[in-house]
Amino acid sequence: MINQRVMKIFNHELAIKRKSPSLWLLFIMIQLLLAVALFTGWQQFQHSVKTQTAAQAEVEQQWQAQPDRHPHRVAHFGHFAFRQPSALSFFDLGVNAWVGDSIFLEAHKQNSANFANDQDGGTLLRFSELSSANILLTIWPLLIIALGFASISGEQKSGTLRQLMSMGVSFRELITGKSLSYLLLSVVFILPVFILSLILASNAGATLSSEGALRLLLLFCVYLLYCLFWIGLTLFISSCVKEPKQALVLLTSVWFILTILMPRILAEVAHNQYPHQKRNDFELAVKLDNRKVGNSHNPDDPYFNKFREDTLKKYGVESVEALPINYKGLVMQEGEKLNAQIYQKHYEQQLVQFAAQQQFIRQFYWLNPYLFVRDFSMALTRTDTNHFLEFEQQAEAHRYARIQKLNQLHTNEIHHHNDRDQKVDKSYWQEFEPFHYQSPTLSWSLRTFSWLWILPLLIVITLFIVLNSTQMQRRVYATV
Amino acid sequence: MQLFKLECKRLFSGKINKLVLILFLLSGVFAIYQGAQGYKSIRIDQYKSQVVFEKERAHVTSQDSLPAAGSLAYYASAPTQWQLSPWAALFVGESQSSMVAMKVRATALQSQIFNREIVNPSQQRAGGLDLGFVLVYLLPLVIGIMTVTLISDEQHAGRWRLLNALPTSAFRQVCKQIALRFIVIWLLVVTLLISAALLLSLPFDVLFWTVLIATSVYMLFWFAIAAFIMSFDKSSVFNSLAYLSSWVLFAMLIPGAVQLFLSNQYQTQAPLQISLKQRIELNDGWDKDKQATLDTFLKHEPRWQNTAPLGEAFDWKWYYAQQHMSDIAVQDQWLDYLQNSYARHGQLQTLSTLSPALFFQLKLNQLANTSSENQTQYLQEIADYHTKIRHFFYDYLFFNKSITKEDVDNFVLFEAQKHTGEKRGTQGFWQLFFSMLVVLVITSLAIFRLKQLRPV
Repeated sequence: MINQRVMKIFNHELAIKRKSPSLWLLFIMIQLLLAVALFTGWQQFQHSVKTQTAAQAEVEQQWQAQPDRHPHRVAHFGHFAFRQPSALSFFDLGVNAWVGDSIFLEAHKQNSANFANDQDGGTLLRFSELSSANILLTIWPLLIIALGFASISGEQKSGTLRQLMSMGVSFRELITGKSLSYLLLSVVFILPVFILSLILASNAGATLSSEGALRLLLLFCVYLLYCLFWIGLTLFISSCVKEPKQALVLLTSVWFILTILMPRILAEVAHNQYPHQKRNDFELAVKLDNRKVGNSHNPDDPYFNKFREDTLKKYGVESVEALPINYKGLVMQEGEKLNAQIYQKHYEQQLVQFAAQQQFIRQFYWLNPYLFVRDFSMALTRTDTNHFLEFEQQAEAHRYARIQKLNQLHTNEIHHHNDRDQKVDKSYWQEFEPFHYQSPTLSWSLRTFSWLWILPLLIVITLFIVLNSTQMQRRVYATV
Repeated sequence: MQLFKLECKRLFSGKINKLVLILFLLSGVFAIYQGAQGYKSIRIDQYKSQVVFEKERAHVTSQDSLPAAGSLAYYASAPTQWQLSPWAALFVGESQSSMVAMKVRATALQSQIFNREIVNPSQQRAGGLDLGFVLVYLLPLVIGIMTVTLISDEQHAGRWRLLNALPTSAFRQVCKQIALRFIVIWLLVVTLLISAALLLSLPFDVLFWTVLIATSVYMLFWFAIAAFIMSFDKSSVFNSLAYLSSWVLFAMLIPGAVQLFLSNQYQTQAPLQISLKQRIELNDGWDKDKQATLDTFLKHEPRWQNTAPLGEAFDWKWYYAQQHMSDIAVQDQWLDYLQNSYARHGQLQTLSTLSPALFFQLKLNQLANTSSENQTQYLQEIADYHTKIRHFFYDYLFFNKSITKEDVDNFVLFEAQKHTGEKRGTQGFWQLFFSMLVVLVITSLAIFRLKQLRPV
């Protein structure tokens, strides 16, 4: 398939591009842009790691420095869980700007992550941040278009295509040679940013495991696939349209639709189709359900009356005062359990809606590889919505365990009589595990994609098959 | 007239021109529909919060006896609302991603004010599609595709020499063609704006005309850029690429750079620091001398200084005093934070002049009361209202006045402040005026250069 003629075309195309001063200018500008994006991303990442680690250490210290206290007081004192930025988030910031960095963990109440970094988002983040990933996703295709929009239509127009044909060069050879040269250029363009990322990531110390390197490698592969898609599309449209100018206008229109218009429309439609609850509605629903189940503060509450009877029966005593443990602590435990169940139920409904929105968008991966590459890249760098929700769930699990441990202290270490005025020794606070976010593994990160990556790959393969087909060749030759 | 018809025919004969105009119109219609939905959900949220509050209040007053004022205050979460202009449906700004109907009660403000709206971050990442987006970012591309290759196309078709040989100059021909495109696109924009206004029952007031004039000026700017690029007399391909590059620069790169700059410059951990400190203060309060806390509180709130000293038992008045003291402990940081936010807005305002797209986007959001600045103002209004709620309950808490059902019915409600429109109006006028001036300068430069253009 790759013969001498292909190599000639390949070399010739490269030589032309090498001589073009505007291409050099663009090359330098893109490299600068990528370098700036990577550098600021790296700075932000480091700053974020530093502040989040410091803040987590601060709250752990605050927790341990508490004096003798009543356990329920401590439950209201609460704790914080901080979201460490993921190791590769300097490459792709993903949804980081729109999600909170920390969650306040307290008794009876599940808070959401607060303190996001989205000030002026409605004005400044209409195209998301200038991250390396974002530049590769949106601006880089424009360069591929600029490289190749005239590749076939230009030859056609200037009549060189006819000459090439008369020299016995087949259309297939022409396409292969040109594709290869653009692919090489793409690799040269995007490789530096990946090498720099690798250096930065390994500089971050022990955080770069073999998995981290694998993630980077996969990132490189998926962006290369993305390049191939745009090369294929550019050559395809360039072959179908006679005028280079028309090819350019058509390609930029397609670029605008695929990378800018369609993702927005899909996201909005998905939200309309599968709306999630707003904060007020969500909290109201949780509150109303909580009221229905039982109020532990109400002495006549049927649920807790039954709970009391069951407890008394279990211990074989007549009154709560006679229990060997503190009944109030037990009520706290039961209340927390019910409350957490109710919250979980509503939270899962939200998750279902989020997943449905995501699923809706996923249906279009085959049509628009931009969507796939964007989501795949966010998953690889652990910066997508799923990873954020996973953090929220880990924090909630931690909250529940922590509060229930306090309630156990309340049950076992505080006497029922004169409950409010007692305290437990401060040494107990040292026994609590700090919050550690467990970074998901690669297979977890990619679990929602299973076979979906095949679709964009098929698109690219189809594009090149069509380009190499005899029909295509006939079509082009017919117009020469 | 004949010529005009001919020009129209030529304009609509190109498949791509037609396609682009249809795409623009469809996106606009989608954006308006989408915006109407979003705005409706905001209004429902705000209205519902009030209904829920009224219901709870009715529930409380329907009971035989009212709970103690302290307990009542604990559960009285009162609704507030971010006073958006109905234009928020078209220029959503921050209104979709932040709280528009925050509830607030008499306990410490700082543990309530940073509450966030639940959003699907993926949706935010996509960037949203409101009419503002269509006007600010899509419109220039439509202008570019239809205009920037006018002369080079004539040249390419070999008509340019011919036109120059005519008694009416080629320059006037080109001007006519540009004007025709301007009018066609302008009519589309007007159609979109009018249908949006009718659909959302927006009044045709100063605001409407401001939006229309600002959009026209913005259109003129991009036409001027196109003309300027054409005046270099290069090939169609060069013109298209140059125009596209300027779009990428103004729409994506400059806003992105400004965002990077601002988030570096104003890297603020203030909300987190405030929360952490306030929490410590709040909880340490339980281990401190209660009377001492109350005494310091009364220094801050002297109106209630004649309250009786605390007894042995738990007293709500100490509870609310120490809640407020935890707010006081972070008061300076909170004020710094607000000031910092305003400084950030000011800085953004200045930097936005670097890119007309950014400037126009910011202005549209400000017109609709949906900018970050408006959001900060809303936060301040919540803080002020919080003070009113506290003061409402203090009489009952500190003077042992018993609360009656009538009092509950007379509970202070949130009133959104009418923004001082006059000052903003004149400021807006001057900004519009200067924008016009700048655009006029660019336009005349482009026209001057175009006039010099002669066939080679």
